[in-house]
Amino acid sequence: MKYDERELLIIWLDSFKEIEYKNKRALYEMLVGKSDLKRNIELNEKSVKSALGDAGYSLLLNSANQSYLKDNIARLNAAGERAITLASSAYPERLKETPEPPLCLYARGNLELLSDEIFGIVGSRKSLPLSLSIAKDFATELVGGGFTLATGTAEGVDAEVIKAALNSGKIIAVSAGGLNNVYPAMNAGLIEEVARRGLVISEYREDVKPLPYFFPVRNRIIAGLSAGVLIVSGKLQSGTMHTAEYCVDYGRDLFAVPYSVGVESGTGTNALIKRGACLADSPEDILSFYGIEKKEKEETIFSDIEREILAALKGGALHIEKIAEKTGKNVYELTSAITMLEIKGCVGKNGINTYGLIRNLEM
Amino acid sequence: MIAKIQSYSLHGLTGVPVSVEVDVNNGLPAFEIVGLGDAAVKESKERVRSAIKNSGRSIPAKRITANFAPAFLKKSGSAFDLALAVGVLCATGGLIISNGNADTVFLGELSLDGSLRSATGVLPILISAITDGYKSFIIPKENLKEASFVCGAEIYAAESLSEVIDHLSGLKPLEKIAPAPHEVSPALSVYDSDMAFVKGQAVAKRALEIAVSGGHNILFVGAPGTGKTMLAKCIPSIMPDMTFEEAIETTKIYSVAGLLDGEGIVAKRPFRSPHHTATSVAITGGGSSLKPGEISLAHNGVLFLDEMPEYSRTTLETLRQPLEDGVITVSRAAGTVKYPANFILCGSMNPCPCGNYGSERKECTCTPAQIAKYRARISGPLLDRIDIKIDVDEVKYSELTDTEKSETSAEIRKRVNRTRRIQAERFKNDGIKTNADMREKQIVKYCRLSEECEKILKHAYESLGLSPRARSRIIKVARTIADMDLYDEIQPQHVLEAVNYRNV
Repeated sequence: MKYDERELLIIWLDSFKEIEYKNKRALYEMLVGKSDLKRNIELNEKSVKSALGDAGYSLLLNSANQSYLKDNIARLNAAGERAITLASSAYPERLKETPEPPLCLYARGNLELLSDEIFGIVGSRKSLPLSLSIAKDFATELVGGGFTLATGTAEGVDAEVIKAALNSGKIIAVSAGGLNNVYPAMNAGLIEEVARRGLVISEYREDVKPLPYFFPVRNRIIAGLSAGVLIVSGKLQSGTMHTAEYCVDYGRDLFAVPYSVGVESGTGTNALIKRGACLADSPEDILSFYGIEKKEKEETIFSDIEREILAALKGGALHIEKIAEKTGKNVYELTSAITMLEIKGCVGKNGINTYGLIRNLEM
Repeated sequence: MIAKIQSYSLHGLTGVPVSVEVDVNNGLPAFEIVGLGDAAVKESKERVRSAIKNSGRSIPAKRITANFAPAFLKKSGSAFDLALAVGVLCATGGLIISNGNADTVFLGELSLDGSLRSATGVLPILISAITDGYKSFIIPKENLKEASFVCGAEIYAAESLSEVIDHLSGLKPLEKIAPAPHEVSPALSVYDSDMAFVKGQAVAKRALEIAVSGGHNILFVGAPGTGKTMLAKCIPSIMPDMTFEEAIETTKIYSVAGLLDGEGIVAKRPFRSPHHTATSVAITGGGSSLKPGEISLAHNGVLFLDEMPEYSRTTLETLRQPLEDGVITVSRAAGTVKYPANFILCGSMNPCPCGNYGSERKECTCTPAQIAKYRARISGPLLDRIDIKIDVDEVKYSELTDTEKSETSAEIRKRVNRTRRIQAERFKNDGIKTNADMREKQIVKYCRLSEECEKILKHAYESLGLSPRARSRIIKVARTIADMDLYDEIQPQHVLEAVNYRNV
């Protein structure tokens, strides 16, 4: 894997954990385009020292050699990662336009996905079971509509989106820490699978452990990459809401799934809708927003009992015994019909033996 | 003069003949016992000495040697007391056995006052000894009930050593035990728990019926206090009636374990619920005396593991092989024995460590990682052997006060019996009894899926993310549901319902 000179300069700069983001940007502007790096630093001694102090200056000077850089690249290659720098042609345009684009994205997987039309789907880790079904439904339909999805690496909604999109390969998972330290560890296997079929990126080098403050910062990448973002669930105070804030700042299209009164994991999304986010209760809402014609799917045919169940659920999620009451059917007759509706993607589980609709149906 | 008296020792569920030889010599007075006996056997000489004295006989001051043959076999327990006492009396000339009583087998422990106490394993010993050709037995009266189920032999029950002496010498013969009818009387099999008292829980009840009908293992997932234990306790009451053979098998195990408590026969399906601190030996059986464990005591019944993830991993893993084979082979220094262990495994667990995951009323405070860790305590291979997983509802107050009775266990049992008969008919040449026992070969043979069913399964994989390992479990359960509905071919609705009980 070859990098050009500008890319190498950024990789070199990004290797110093001690240096702040804005200083790195400034140093890049200062040093770019000149051939002799070491001499260049010496020439700019005063400004470098004022920004980084004496220690920073000597660190840069001592590291400004070919062996340091070669060693760095070798480690990258060994980790199976490709660095996409601000100077790379592969760097996503949308992200570059944001106020603080990462200098470098370290990536494993299919880099071509970065030039696709990307849509973000995020949600809280602790969501209602029904929210997970909703996330899955949206993810499947949006991939079908031609989007590549961006999301985090967490459990809950993130994992559900990844699983839904994995088969198509159109998935970008953005990790908060380095790619050898995916958080939470229980998702490491899933993320490996993403690296194989889709793409995993991080703004940190392979071995960096994620610190708590990395997560909100990571969310700016998801927002930055995406044309629009769907918030599936989230409390008022949650990481998910950070992503929404970034969307507003960056002028991204923001969609949110509505919840009924009193559902805690829906207070955040409802607040977003109040502030003007697009209400999305069906994937078509998003697809039509972007003018994507839904592919003519063969129409789902429902049996009589399935129709009755769907009608019963229109008032909200119900316990199976309540459905039995409403429809006058036996519980075990309902069980098979509900499983069929789950397979057809219309109904999802919402707690113990409780089921609800996962999208608006026109019947 | 040498006396040879026949007795029996236990090895697992079979009796092994042990002859007690007693010889009397001149010399310093002594009482020696040889022949690999444990402490209880060695101590028996003191019980025997007192019992003889207190029965009005005496032991001459001579050198008495008793040998328990075969000498290489380790013998344990106190059931040889009676044989030893009779041997000593014969050898010292205190008793002459009349001709009719020559080949009698003696079992029983002696008290110092000469009365006879119960022995363990009388039923299996009698069965083995009759196969070996013995026809006459004297046993303690406390074991009378279990012995009455054995036919083809003359069995006498005595209360004391003097009764035995009078019987053997022909002075006052004992009454033969009247054989009990060879059937399990319904009056004996009345269970404390009944499905009629379980309120609500329609889904769980249906799943239980399927599990019992097809012999499937089942796992309840539900918050604390939702009645998982109550449901599990109802399982024996809806299981098919015990056949006489099954009852005898189970009684043998209880007899060996010394748990019969004067009961003649175990006519109720056993329900065993070992605490989660139980060691794996307590579960599988073993120890120095090779006692049957909880899984064998649950033979033909239910093994209930409450709070399943709390059991130690090794304990749970030891269940895998018996669940597959229906027997457990216990190997210890004392030997190797096989105990039957064919049971329905019923487990219960909380949905998460705090117990409130998915609850409508309380918020779960666990992180997804904690939940995953909690669930991972039950290993995949073990979960593979549990065909049905069911979420148990929280009980609502209105349901508790509801006085309307639902279906009774007896009504459900009628249907279960019918479904079991269908399976017995189907598998009569396959050496298995229930749908849950089916292997790949039988699944292919008896569970042909229509094109539509295959399609449903395929869709279920794709949209519900089923693991391929779930396939045979789902098909087996679908087969049972089809049997309950009296269908020869598995229908789509059966597959769908089975998918709903999937174990994820």
